[in-house]
Amino acid sequence: MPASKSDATLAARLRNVNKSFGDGGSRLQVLKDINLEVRCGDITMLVGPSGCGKTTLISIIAGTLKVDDGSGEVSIFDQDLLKMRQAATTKFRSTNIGFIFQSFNLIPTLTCVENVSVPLLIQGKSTRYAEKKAREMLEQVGMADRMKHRPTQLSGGQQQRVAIARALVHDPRLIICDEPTAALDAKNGTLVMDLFANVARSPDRAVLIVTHDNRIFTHADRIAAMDDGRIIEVHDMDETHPLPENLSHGFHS
Amino acid sequence: MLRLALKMLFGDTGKFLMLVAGLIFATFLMAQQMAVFCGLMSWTAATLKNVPAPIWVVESKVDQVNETNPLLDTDVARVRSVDSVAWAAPLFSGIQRVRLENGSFKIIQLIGIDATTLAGAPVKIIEGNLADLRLPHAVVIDDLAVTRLAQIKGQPVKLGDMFEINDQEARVVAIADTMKSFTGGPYIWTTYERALQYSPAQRKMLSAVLAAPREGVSEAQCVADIEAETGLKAFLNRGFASGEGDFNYSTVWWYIRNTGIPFSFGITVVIGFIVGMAISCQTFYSFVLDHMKHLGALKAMGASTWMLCLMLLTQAFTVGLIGFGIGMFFTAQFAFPALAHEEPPFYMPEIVPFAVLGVILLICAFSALLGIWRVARLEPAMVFRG
Repeated sequence: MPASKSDATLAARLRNVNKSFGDGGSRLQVLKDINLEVRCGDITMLVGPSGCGKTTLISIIAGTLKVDDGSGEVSIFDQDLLKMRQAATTKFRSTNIGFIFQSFNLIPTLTCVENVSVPLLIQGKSTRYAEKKAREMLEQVGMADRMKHRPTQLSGGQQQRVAIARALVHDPRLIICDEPTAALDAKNGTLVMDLFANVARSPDRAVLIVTHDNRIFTHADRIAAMDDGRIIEVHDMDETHPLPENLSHGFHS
Repeated sequence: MLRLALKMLFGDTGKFLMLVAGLIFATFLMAQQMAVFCGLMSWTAATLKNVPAPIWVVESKVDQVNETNPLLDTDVARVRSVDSVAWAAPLFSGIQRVRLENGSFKIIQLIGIDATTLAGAPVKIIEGNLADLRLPHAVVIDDLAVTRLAQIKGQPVKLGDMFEINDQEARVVAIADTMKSFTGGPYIWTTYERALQYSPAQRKMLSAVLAAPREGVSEAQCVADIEAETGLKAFLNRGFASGEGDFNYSTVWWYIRNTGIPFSFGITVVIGFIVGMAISCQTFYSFVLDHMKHLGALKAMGASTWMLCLMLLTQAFTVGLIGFGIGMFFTAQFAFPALAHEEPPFYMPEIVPFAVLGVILLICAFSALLGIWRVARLEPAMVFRG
C-alpha cells in the first residue's frame, strides 16, 4: 500500500521564521512567522506578487541567508541550518541542494560540460569523473549535441536545460529554482518545465520552485501562496483539489 | 576548480590581454631600467676591470677609481716594503687628448703601467703583442679606440697607425678587448714613464700602486697590512657588487651617493611599478566585478570563500607569471644587442630578475586581494536577486 503524502519525508521544515532587513526606523520585516513544509517527492511552488518575500524565503531554505536572531527553526533533511557553522552550511549546500537561477548563471567562458561539472568539482570530485557525469546529465536533458558549446552559443531554452543538468548532476535531495521560466518565452518555458519535471521528480527528492508563471502551476504538487511576508495559503494539487480561482490567474511583477 | 578558474581568465580575452600587457610593461620597465642602471654603475668601475690587480693602493681620501689623488713616487717603495706584499707596481691614470693626423682631438683614458712587469696591462689582447709596449712610442689601444680614433669613418685604426698625445708620437702595437668606461673615452695603455711624458708635468704624478699579496697571505690581510704600515688606503679588486672593502663597491657607492643617477633610474622603476599596479589592480578588480554574479552562483552552489579566493589567487599569479615571462623576454631582446655592442650599458645581476618577479607577484597579490575583499563580503543570496 503506497504511503500517504503526509507520511513522505520532509525535505524542509520552517517554523515561525522571521526575517528583517535594516535597523531602527528603516527596519523592514520581509518574512513574518513563516511556517512551511516541503516534502520529498513533491514539486512545491512558492507563488506570490513581487516583493512578498519569496526570494528571501528560498535564500533562507538554501542556507545562503540567516534568519533574525532567535527566530524560529529552519530544518533541512532534519539538519538544523540555524545551528550549523558557516563552513558546514556551505558543505551541506554543495552536497544536498541543487540550484536553478532565473538568469541561468552559467559561466560564459566554460563549455556546457564544464558548466555542468561545476557542482561535482566543488565537492572535490576529479575532473574526469565530473565531466563524465556532466555528459550523462546533458544527454538526459537533450543537450548531447551541444556539449562543447558555450552558453552564449545557445538559446535561452537550451541554456536553462544546461542549468537543469547542472542542478541535477550531483544528485541533490533538494532543488531550488528561482523563476526558472521567467527568461523564456511561453513555448520554451513549457518545454523546459516539462523536461525539468520529468528528470527532477523523484520520491526522495524535493523540488521548490519560486515562480510567477501560472502556466507551470500544473506541474506542482503543492502551491504555497505568499503575500506581504506571510504564507497565506498552502494548496495540495490533485484531482480532488483543483487549482483555486485566486491562484489560477497567476501573479505579475 | 582551479582549471576552471584559468578557463574563466583566459576566456575573458580583453581583460586577460590588458592584465598581461600591464605586467609586461611593468616587468620590462623595471628589469630593463635596473639592468641599465647596474650597467652604468659597472661602467664607473670599468678601469678596475681593465687594469687588473688584486689590490689597489691609493691616497687616503680617495673613494672612487675615476678620481684619484696623486701619490709620491716613493709610495711604490713603501708599499713594496710591507711584508705581506708580493709585488707592487706604479700606475698612472688620467684623461688626455689625442690629436689625430687630420687635426681633430679625441678624449682618451691614458693608463701608464710598469714597463718591467706590465702589471695592469689588459688581459685580452685581440691583435698585436703586449710585450711590444716596451718599444719606443708604443701604445696599446682598446677596441673602442679602433673606431673612435679613426681618422676617416669606416677606416678603423690598425696596428702601426700613429697619432699624437700632448704633441708626442704614439704608435699602436696592440689592440685589447676592454670594458667601456663611464667617461666614454677609449683606454690607451703605455708604460708608466711614457705616460708621464704624455701628461702635463705635476709635482706628484703617481695615481695608484697596484699590488698583490705574498703567497699564503689573504688579500684582506695584505690590505690591512698596507693600510697599517703606509697610512695609504688599500682596496681589494674582486669585481662589481662584491661587497665592502672592494674598490668597485666603493666606486659604485660614490656615484650612487654623489650623482642623481639612482634617483633618475629609481623614478622610472617606480613608474613601472605604479603603472603595473594601476593597470593590474584596476583590470583585475573589474574582471572580478564582471564575474561577481558567477562567483555568487558558485558560492551558492557550495564553493567556500577559501576556494573562491584560491581561484582568484591562481588567476592573478598566472597572469603575473605570464606577464613576467614575456616582459623578461622583451628585456632579453633589448639585452642581446646592448651586450653585443656594449651600448647602452646593460648588466643584470642575478638578483634583478628575482626582485622584479617578487614585485610583479606583489602587484598580483594586491590585485587579487581587492577581488578577495569583494568575494569575502559576497552574500551567496545575491544570486537570487536577479
